[in-house]
Amino acid sequence: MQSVSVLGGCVRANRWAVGVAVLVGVTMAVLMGTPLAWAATTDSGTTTVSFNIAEAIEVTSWPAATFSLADGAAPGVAVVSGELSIRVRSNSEWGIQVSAESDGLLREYDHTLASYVADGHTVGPVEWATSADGLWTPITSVPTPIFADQPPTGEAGASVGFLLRVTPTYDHQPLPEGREYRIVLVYTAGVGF
Amino acid sequence: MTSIEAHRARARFPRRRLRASLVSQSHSGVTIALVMLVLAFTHTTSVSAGVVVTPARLHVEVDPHGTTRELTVVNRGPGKVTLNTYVGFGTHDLRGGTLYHDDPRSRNEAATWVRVQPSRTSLEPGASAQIEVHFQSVPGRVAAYPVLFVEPAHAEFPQPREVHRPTSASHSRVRIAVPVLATFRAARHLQRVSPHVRSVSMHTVPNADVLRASVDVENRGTVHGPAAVHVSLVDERGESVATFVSESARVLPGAARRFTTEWSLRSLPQALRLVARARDGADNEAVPQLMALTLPDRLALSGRQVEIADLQATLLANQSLLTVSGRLVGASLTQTASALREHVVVYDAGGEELVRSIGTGTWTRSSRGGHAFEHKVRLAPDELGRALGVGVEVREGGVNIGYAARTLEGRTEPTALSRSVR
Repeated sequence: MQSVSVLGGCVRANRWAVGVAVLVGVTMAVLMGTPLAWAATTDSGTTTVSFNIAEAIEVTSWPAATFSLADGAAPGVAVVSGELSIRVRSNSEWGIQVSAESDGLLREYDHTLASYVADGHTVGPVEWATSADGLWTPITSVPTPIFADQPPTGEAGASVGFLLRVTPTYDHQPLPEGREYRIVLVYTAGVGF
Repeated sequence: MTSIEAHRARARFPRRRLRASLVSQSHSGVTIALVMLVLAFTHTTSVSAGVVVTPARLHVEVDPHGTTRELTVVNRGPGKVTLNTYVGFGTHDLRGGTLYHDDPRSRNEAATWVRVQPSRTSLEPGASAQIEVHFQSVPGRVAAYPVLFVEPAHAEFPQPREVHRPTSASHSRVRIAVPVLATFRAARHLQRVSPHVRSVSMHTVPNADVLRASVDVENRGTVHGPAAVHVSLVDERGESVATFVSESARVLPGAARRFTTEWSLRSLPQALRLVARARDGADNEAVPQLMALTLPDRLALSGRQVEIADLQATLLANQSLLTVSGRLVGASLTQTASALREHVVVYDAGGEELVRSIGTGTWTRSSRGGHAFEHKVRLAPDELGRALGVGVEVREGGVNIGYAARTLEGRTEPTALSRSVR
C-alpha cells in the first residue's frame, strides 16, 4: 500500500506539476500574445500566390468602314484624305499593317450589281503616309507595316494616324452614275512574333 | 442612339468637306508649274468599339495526338459584334515586323492542321467567349508559324451611303492577328537555332559625325530562337578599337533581323575593318563573318555631306557583272551635283581594293527622295572569286563627303583576318 500510496502521491504530484506547467505555458502565451501565435502560424504552413498576366491586345477604334475620298477629283491633283486613326490598347509591343484586297488600285464598282466591273477602269495607286509631307508608300496586297515596334500602351491606349493619297491623271476616266472607284483596305493589328 | 449608330448616321450623311489648294506659279513665261494639293477632309470618322483578344500570342508545343488552346475574345464596345476567326501564316521582316500570309493558298494550307471552333462568334456588349484552336501534329515538321486572324464581320460596319454620282471610296476591314509559335514534340530532337550573318552594311550620316553599321542575321536553323550580334571595329594591326554587343531578338527560321549601331566617326582611325559575329541565345558564336572596309582618306565631317542610302550590291556570277545601286541624299546635292562623282570600290576579304569605277555623275531623281544611281562593274575571274564587299565614295574636289559599304549578297565569308582579331 505504501508503495501504492507513494505512487499515488507521485501521480498526484505529477498531475499538479503538469497543471502548473500548462498554466505557466498559457500565461506566457497570453503575455507574449500575437508574436507567439504568428510564429506558430508561419511554422505550420505557407501559401505562395502566383500571378501572371496574359498578353492582350484590344482595338478600341478604327477608321469608318466606308468613306469617300473624292467625288470630283481633278487630273494631276493629289487627293489626300483627312487623318485616319486606329486606337489600340496592348500590354506588349504591337504594330499595325495595311494591305489592299486588290492590287492597290481603286477599281470600278457597280452599285446596282453590287460588284466590281470585270475589266473595269482603275485609278491608283493608293498611297499611305504618316504625314502629308512624309514618305508616301503605295499600298499593295502584301501587308506593309505602317507602325511597328510600338511600346505597350498602358491603360490609356495609344492612337496612331495616317493619311491616304490618290493622284489621278488624264489616263483615268470619270465614271457614270451608279458607279465609283473603290478599294477595300485591310488593317491588321497584332503583337508580332 | 449608340455610339456605333451615331457613326453610321454620320457615314450616311457626311459632313461638309473642307478643301485647300496650294497653287504656285513660276514666272519663267514659258513654263507654268501648277502644283495643287487637295486636302479632302472627307468623313474619315472612326468606329468606336472594343474587341479584346487574349492571349495576343500563342506558344504551343503540339503533342503527337494534337493540342488544343483557347483564345478569349471580349466585346467591350457599345454594340453587338460578330467575329470571324481564320488562319494564315506569318514570318517577320528585318525590323521584326510581322509579315502576314493570308492568301487563299496559305489559308488552305494552315487549315489542314489548325482548326478553329467556332469560326464565327457573336458577342453582345460586355460578353466574352472562348474560341478553341486545335493544332494537329504534322509529321516531319519541327516548327511552324501560323497566325490566327480575328476579324469583326463586315456586316457589323456602317454600310456605304447611297451613291448617285461618280466618286472614289475606301472601304476598311480591321482585324487582330494572333501569331503562333508552334513546335512539334515529335521532332523536338531536331530543333536547332542557327544564326548567321547574312550581310553587313555601313554608311556615314551627313553632318552627324556618325558611322552607322547594320548587320543582318538570319536563322538557318529549324526553330525560332534568340540571336544577337557582336561587332568589332578593327584597325590596321588587327586591334579592336570599338565593339558593340546587341540585345538578343527572336528570329524565325528562314527569316532575318537587322541589328544597328553607331560610332562617332571622329574617334575612329582611317583604316578600319568591321567584324560581325552572330550569336545564339546560349552565347554560342557562329563562325565569324567579316565585312572588311577601309574608310577613305580626307573624309569631310561637316559641311556638304551626302548620305548614301539603300546601297545594294548584287553579283551576277555567270556574267561576272556586279550591279551596285543606291540613293544619294543630301541638301547640297542639287547645288553641287556637277562637281560630285561617286566612286564604286570593290574590296576583297582583307579590305584590299580590287576595282575602282568612277561614275559619270548622272543620276535620276528618286521617288523616295534624293537621286538614284546604278553602276555595273565587270570583274575579271580572279576578282570575281575574291570580291566580298563594295564601297561607294561620293567625292567632291578630292574630298569624300559621303561613304557607304556593304557585303555582296550571299558572300559573307570567314577569313584569316577575322580569326586574327584580338
